[in-house]
This record gives sequence, C-alpha cells and structure tokens, in this order.
Amino acid sequence: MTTNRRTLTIVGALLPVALAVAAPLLAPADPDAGHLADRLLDPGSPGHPLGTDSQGRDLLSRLLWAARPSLTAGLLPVAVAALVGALLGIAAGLGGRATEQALLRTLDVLYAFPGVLLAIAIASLLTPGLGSTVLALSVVLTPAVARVAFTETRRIRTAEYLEAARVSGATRPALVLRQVLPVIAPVVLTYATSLVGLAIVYAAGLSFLGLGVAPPTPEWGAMLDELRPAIFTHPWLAAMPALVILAVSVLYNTLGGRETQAGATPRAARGGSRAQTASRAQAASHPSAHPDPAEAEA
Amino acid sequence: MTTGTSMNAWLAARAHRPQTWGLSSNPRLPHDSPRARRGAAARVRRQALGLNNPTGRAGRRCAAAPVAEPEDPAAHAPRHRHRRNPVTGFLLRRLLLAVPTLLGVSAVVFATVALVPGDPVTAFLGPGAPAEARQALAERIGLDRPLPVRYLDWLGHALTGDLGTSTATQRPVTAQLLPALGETLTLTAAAFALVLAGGVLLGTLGALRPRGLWGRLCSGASTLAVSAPQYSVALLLIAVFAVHWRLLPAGGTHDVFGGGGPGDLLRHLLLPATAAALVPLGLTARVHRAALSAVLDGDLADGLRARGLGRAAVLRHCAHNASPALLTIGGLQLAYLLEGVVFVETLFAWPGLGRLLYDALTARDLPMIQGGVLIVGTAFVGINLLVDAAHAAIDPRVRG
Repeated sequence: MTTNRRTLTIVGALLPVALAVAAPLLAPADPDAGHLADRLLDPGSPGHPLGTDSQGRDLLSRLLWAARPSLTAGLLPVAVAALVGALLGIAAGLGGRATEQALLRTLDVLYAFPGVLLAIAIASLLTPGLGSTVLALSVVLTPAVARVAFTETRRIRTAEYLEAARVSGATRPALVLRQVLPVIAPVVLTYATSLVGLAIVYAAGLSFLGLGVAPPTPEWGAMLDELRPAIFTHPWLAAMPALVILAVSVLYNTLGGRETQAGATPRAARGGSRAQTASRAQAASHPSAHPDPAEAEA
Repeated sequence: MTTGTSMNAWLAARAHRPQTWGLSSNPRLPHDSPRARRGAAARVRRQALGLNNPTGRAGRRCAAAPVAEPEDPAAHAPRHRHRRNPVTGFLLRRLLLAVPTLLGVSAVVFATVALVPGDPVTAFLGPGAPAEARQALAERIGLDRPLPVRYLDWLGHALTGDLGTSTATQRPVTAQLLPALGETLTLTAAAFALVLAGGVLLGTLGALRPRGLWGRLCSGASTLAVSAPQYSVALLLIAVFAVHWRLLPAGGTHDVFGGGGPGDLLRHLLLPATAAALVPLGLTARVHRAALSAVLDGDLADGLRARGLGRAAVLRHCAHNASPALLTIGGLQLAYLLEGVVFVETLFAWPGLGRLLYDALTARDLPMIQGGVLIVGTAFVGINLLVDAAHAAIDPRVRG
C-alpha cells in the first residue's frame, strides 16, 4: 500500500469517529429537545436539514450524537474480541492437547450458532444498555478471532526461535508476550479491523430490536425503530438512519477489505481447513462465512 | 437483394468444398465462417502435435472415441466391492463429529434460557401470587428440579419432537414452530435463488472483465451488497417500492382481499427476499469471481482455448471447475439466510421463525425461545454437514 492510500485509509476510518467526538460543535440543535409543533418534518425543511422525528427533535443533531454510542458499540467489541481471541488462540495453540481440544470444542459450539441469534440471546439475558450490547458482540466475535490466532500460533509452534527462548529459560508469560504475540499481532489485528463494519451493523441491529441503549439517548438502530411507524407517511425521513448505517458500514467494509487484501489475512483465515480454503479465505471478512465447526480436529 | 446475394455466395461456397465433408464437424457451416476457421486452425495445431483423430471433433469427445481394449476378464471383476465408498466413510466421520456439536448447541440453548435473570413464575403469575399457586406452577413446568435433570428431560422430549408448551399462548411449541418454519423456508428458498442467480452473474462478469468497467462495477456492487444491513435495506425497499412508487406490498404473505395465488405470493416475496439476499449475494459474487478467475487464468482454460473452443464453451468448462467454491459458499450463505430472517421477517410482517422468535423474546416465552433457537442451530449444523457431503462427493481431495 502506498503512503497515499494509507493516509486515505486512516482518514476514512477516523472520519466517523471525528464526527462523533465533534458532535457538540457540529450539531445545530439539542438532540433531546423536541418541539411538538415541528413533528415529522421531511428532510430539507428550513432549520432542519434532515427533518425531525416524531417528537420534533432535529434529526441531523440526533444522528451526529448517536454516532457516539453506535460507534462505541461497534469498535469496543472488536477490540475486546481481538485481545481475548488472541489470548485464547495462543492458549489453544501452545497448550497441551487437552487444553487445545477443550478450547476449540467450546469455540466450535459458539460457532455453530448463527451470530445474530447468539447476540440476541445473550443481550436479552442482560438489562438493555450499551454494556450488554458490547458484551454480547464481544462473545459473538471472539471465536472468529481466536480461530485466526490459533492457526497463526500453530504455524509458529515448532519454530526454532521459540525453542531457543524456551531453552534459555523464558517463562510462559514472557514467551507469549515477547515471542508469540508480536508475530501473530499483525494478522489478528488485520482480521479484527475487517470485522468493524459488521460489528457496527450488529450493534445497530440489537438496539433496533430494543436490546441496546435506553430510549432518550440517540442511537442509530434505535432511531430506525423509532421512525419505523412513520414510513408510510414520510418514507424519506424514515430511511435516514438506515442510510447512515449503510454508509458507515460501506465505509468500514471498503477500508477493511482493502486492508485485508494488503495484509496477510487470507492465509490466516483458512483456520485449519482443507480444500475449502480458497472460498473461505475470500469470505473471511464476514463471519457469516463461518468455518465449519467440525473442522478444528486438524 | 442482399440476402439473395449472400445466399448465392453461400451456396457457391458449399458447392466448392467437397473435400471438407469428411473433416468439418458441421457441414452446414459456411466454409469460411469464423468458427470453421477456428476449427481448421485447431486441426492444424493438433496435426503438428500428432493429436489428430479421425472424428475431427474437439478434444472432449476424442477421449470418448472407442478404443479397442483387450478383453480382460480381470478388468470387469468387482475390485471395489470390498472397499468402502470413500464418501460414505467421510460422511460417517462428519456425522459423528456433528453429534457433540449438536449436544453443545442444545446445552447452550438450555443454559442461556435457564440463566435468564427474573423468575418465570413471577413473570407469569405476577408478584402478588399466593405461595401455593407459585409452587404448583413451578412443579407443573418443572422448575423445582435440579438443572442437569431438567436439561436431560428437556433434551429427551426435544428428541421426540416435544418442545413443551408456550407460556405466552398456551399452545404446544412444535405446533407453532412448524408452520413458521415452513414460511421461513419459503422466504429462504426465494432469497437463496436470488443469491445464486445474482452471485453467479456478478461473479462471472467480474471474472471475465477483471480490469474493465464490468469488473469495477461488480466489485463495487458486491462490496455495497456485503455491507448492506438487512434492516436498512428492508426499510429502504419499503420506502421506495411500497410507499413511494406503490409497486409492491410492504408486508405479509398475501393480499387480504382477493389474494392467495402463487403470483400473489411472489409479489409479496420479492421485497423481503431481496432484503435478505443482498449480503449473501455479495459474498457469493466475490467468492465465485475469485474461484472463476483462478480457473480462467490456469492451464485448463489455456488448454481448452488451444483446442479451439469458443469463449462460451471455455467459460462453461471453467465454471464447472469453479463450482466447489460456489457450493461451499452457497451452503454457508443458506445457513446465514436462516439467521438473518429475524430482522427481515419482523420488518415485513412475515409470519416465520424469525418473527416468532422476536415475539417470544419480547414476551419472555422461554420454551418458544429454546425451541426456535434449537431449530435454527440444528439447521445450521445440518446445512454445514450437507455442504461437506456434497463437497466430498464432487472433490476427492476433501475426503482425506
């Protein structure tokens, strides 16, 4: 990747975050202050460029403020999953046969679940809120990352420099932190970045189903649900949050895809499978392309 | 006039080529058509390589040309009778591996629901209920027994098709799940047809013109499709097609008045199926494009072109060789469609599993949630198994 492209990628990735941080400066109105006289104004109304919702609150301001919980619920689970997944993968890769089997079987069971359903099931166990969304998505995303980390660790398990470190008396934490983690980090991080777009979509989906943040706080998925009844009278207004989620998802998937092509992910994403590698590696940026559970026995 | 002239020219050409009757594969082709020229060029190449054959046909058929084999009784002996079919063996192993996975799925389903904070008895009877009534209800739904016993009991009943009684509707869970499963399968099948057709079309166009306008359009379209969340797409589709243009219905499975025929069902299927299909379609297009361009750049395609096959024929053969990847990703996407219906069915008021599950979640209907998640999870594992089986059947390297 040339420097120019790299700059472009970084700027693109940070743009939504910057908008979220600068929401108080950019938002033209208070996101929670409604004027019942101005209810359900269509996009393009004077004073309300994107219109107003059913309580007369300015939609642009709400969409800007909503970026904070929405992006948090998308980015934080990926970070958690990257960390926990990497550690689990290393544990499975370096541990004995029993550890490996126990960890992989557990991950396989989680894998056997459709991701959305698992997230819904976990989030519905907890009180609705940002925390439970983050927790649910972390659990859903971790097995995929762990699988990648496991494959990478397996690859270097018998490397001579690991042997040398062991012989020279490195303790297990030192081995993991100094020798293994730096080697697998680029691959794991690259894979994790490709999950960001999906995590944002899942998070908005959960709050769309009423499992996310509590009502007065603006959040993209929740706004989608709030404006849903208005779709038959104000279709363009109701489509606004949908468009924002779509745009952010496309942005992160494009960046993630580019990053993935540049990085080493396709090799890592094979996850110990056999002849189905090509297709899975291609689709690895999307967990719906689950490597199948029965495949970890290799 | 021109037609007559060219017809005369054609007849003349036909009259002047008696020597080609035996060699040309299609005597009705004009003598100097591009196809005939390609055939001739291929014959010259074959002759140079010493590969010419009396039939004058392209390579695929030469292989089938009758070659006199020595009559050897051993060749017909049933050598494979005592060897197990490799596909069966592979399948048996996979089936055995699926059993613990399914057990794990059922355990997780049971555990997540059993661990729900909040007491179902209180939720059902209200906080002020007398202790005897609470005790009676707890005994009736079996909440007074230890967790492992309840799990085994539930699993045993589930295996015989009894998933309990819904606490919200007081009807057997299976009786509600099965019709919903039928509706979901209808929607899934329609979406899957869209996924395959669209994915193969986009992928093929992208593979044929990797650097051209089509290729760029295809990769752009597939990225867009992969990134499109189902609920966003569903809302946009409703806004545009159902509300703005009033072309298609916004929900349900049939019109309330005068609906019900297959045409009506198709009309109602179109929007939800599209909303559900976009993400899998984009993924399928990507994978098919990658697999097909790998084959098109490989030796097989070169060999076919050297034999003088036309572009369509080369594509046909290469598509065949790229099909294992398509099968794998297709199967995975089928499983993905099953999970993605929660949003689509909720938004389009489609009376399927996803909608049932959503309603059960809001009503805290534990047996229904258990049953629904169990069915989808089992279908997920089952589809993966079927994909592996099909894969092993067509690609010997997988059986390993």
